[in-house]
Amino acid sequence: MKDLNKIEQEVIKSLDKSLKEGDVLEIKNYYLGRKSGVITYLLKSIKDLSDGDKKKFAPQIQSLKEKTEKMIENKLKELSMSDISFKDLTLPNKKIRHGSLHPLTIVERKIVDIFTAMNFSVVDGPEIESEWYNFDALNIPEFHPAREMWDTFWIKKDYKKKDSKKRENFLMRTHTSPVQVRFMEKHKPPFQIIAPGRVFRYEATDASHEVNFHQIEGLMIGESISMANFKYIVENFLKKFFGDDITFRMRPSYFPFTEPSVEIDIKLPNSDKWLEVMGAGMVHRNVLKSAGLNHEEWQGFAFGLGVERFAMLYYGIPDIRLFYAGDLRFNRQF
Amino acid sequence: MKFSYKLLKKIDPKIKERDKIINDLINHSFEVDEVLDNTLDISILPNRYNDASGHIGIARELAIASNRVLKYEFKTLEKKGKIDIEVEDNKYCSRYIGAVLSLESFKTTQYITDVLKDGGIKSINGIVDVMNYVMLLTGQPMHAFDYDKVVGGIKVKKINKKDKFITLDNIEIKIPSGTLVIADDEGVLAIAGVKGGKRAEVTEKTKKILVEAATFNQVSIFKTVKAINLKTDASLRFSHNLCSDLAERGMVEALDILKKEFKAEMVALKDLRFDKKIEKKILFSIERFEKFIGMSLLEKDILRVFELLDFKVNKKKEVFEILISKFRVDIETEEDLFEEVVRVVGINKVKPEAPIVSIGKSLFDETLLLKNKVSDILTGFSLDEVYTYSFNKDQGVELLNPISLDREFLRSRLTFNLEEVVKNNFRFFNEVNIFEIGRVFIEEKDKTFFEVYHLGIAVGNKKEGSFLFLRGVLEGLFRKLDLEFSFKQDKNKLIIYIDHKIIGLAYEKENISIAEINFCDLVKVATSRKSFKPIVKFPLVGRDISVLVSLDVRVGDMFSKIQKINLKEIVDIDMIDFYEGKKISDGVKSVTFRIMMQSNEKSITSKEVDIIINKIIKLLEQDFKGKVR
Repeated sequence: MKDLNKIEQEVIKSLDKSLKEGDVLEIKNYYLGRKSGVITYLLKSIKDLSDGDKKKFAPQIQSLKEKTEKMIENKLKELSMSDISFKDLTLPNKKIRHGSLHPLTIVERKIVDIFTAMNFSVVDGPEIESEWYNFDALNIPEFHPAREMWDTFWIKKDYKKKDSKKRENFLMRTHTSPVQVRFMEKHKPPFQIIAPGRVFRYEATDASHEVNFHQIEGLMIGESISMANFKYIVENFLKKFFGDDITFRMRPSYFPFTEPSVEIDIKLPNSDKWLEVMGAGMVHRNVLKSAGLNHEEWQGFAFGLGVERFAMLYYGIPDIRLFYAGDLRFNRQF
Repeated sequence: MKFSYKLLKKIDPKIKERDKIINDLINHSFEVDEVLDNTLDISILPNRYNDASGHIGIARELAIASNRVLKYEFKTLEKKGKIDIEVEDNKYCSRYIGAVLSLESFKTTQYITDVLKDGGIKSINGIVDVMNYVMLLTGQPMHAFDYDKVVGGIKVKKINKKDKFITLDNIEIKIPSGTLVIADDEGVLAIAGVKGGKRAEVTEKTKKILVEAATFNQVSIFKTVKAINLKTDASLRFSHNLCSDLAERGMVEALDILKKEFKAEMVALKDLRFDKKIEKKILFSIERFEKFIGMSLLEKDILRVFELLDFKVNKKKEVFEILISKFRVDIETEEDLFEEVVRVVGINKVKPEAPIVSIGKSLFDETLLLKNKVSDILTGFSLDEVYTYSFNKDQGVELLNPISLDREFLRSRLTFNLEEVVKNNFRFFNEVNIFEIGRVFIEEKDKTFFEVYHLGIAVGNKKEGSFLFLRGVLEGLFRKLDLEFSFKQDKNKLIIYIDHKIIGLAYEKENISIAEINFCDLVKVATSRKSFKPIVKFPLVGRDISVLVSLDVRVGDMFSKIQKINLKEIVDIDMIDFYEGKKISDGVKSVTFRIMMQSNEKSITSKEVDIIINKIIKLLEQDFKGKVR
């Protein structure tokens, strides 16, 4: 009666020693057996106690019974789990393969996600573009050396775009920047957008040049969107993409559609080489004008980056042509 | 463009060490691509050729970066005597300065050949070397003719019929009508701004030279270069819009060196100028600068920038009137001045600042959104995504300037490329399952075109047929997108319908199965939202029907007939077994359907099951002459 604690200690000790299920069942019978179990006996004898003792001991005995049951149950579980003989769980498993997204899709999504988290909208634009949207509207006049910056694939002159009344020259867009003008024509600022898409350059292919590749264009226009705002957005973006430990710098550059124009370089940790990652600037007043916006009312920045370039830096891919070779030994790595 | 550190040092002895100027250039002016010994390869920005493509310009940029004003004096030109020079069409030549000099001998100096070598130019002879040296120094291309070989007067004109011409390096080229040339009474002496000719070449025997410093129209040069397909150092510079004041600088420097080095004597000088001298004034507001750049600067710091740039400033109440130096043809707007200020002060001194904007509704293009969703579903079915070129040798919208013969057209479907990808991968894999979502270009009648997104799927298996896997992928995709779909066979093709409209087709070609789907059509219908249906508490009952039918009966037709019975208790029909072969009699195949039935009101009884099954059996017997086993 007085030694309820002692009984509990006994149970713990004997369970600790037991290695087989049989041992545990024996212990169970000894303490909780229906006829002669030690604890069963105590339970039965409650009714013979005085009212005072009953109040005192009944709950203690009940609790001891429950504890013992729980300990035995746990021990049995533990033994059955460690019983490795009945099933080999280390046999080779069934091969279940998830397909791979293309690395450019993965990188593009990563970039898009960072911008949508900053409330940027995602918009699309055509791959066959008119000469106007690709060049003139972006302040790149004909016979201007700046046009030479973009080697262009032209569509044969006799083609006409469906549902278009105008006769125009068509080309494969050389950058995603035409989307800027297309969007500004139809939407009133303030807004911030990104436009991912495929672009084309008429140039010989090598490890860093392809005839088609992908860009992401960004545009943010408001009443007082400044260069400092651009720096905030782009620094946030680059750190989220490449990590907080990169260093980044802007340097003066020239694009006909931005003024001032800058180029963005980053330095990865443990490297002392600057890598060019994007071009940007404040949208040129002539571009705002092309889209029907007044430069005294609205201002903002635009930027463009190459998805292949980001993917090559991100994964350490040495040759741009791998993206289009369709070799699944490459595609399946991502 | 290559620059000589030696020459920069001569222009400005206070210049920093070679390696220290690189950072100054990158941070304030231009990218430096490479540095080798005394040569710096600098990427002059296309709008800065006029003021910075010469060494004087780069020295000025470097002085500004060190907060110094570069001291460099230019003499003035003096007209003298008479030369017969005429500019026929001054639209294409806004200035022509010609100077005739006589000289005894002209041995090139070691210093000049060293600088030319740093600048990537070969030494030819004393006179030509000076011309090239002056170009490196000022950025103005120069040319010298042997004046004794010139017949009659000099004319700058557009030729009105095509001609042949032998260049300095003895190459005969055809020049089309309309090309701007320098000619004498006998014919073409030089292609203006592009290349000199053999006929009036300066040689060791030359005693009298005509030095030319001219300004040619950039568009005209640009067109000539395209037409004759000849790019030279001079044409590159001229096509970047050089101003007529630069021609004067070039002539001043050339005369100075020729006199000093070779004791040349000036015989005559003629200066024809056709453009007006304009004073460019632009208003600059500090307030607008701060709003545009997002950076605050002291007034004195801004004024110092203009001083360094050699821009005169007039204060006018709240704004400044800036008088732009005549060599900065690139500066046209107030934003151009903002750029000057911010790049001189240091563009990296701009501090990041979060934009203050109201949160608007943000959009996600529906096609791009569905593209993400579909690629996730398809990779879930173990397909790999690929990207292929937008070009092919197929028929389609035709390029004016294809890069190669196998890429003459724009792709009109994806599967042509995908089939190739599968075949290529068969070298490494037995099973290849791929897809691409991308733009294709469709040509319609009268040479009209439009572009549209397609989804292409190609699955290949070297050991067994792959078509049913492909159809399974399509079915899985459409179900996941909650689309009403059906398939119908037309000859050897399976036509895919969504909402009873054709959106694509699928077929098998040897061991590769292919589907091409109009993705934009899919976007139109795939916007529906699933809604919850209560889970049915009553048991699902299955019953199999095996039927023998003739070989020409299509399983798909039997399916659709059974579906048309349209009993609400039938929840699913599957084909669980299919056999055609020796075990059963000839001309007959065995098909086993499993019919799943359920009611959402009560447990379905075996009597009710029997009634449904008998209906189906009857139908199979009547419509397909089937024998139920």
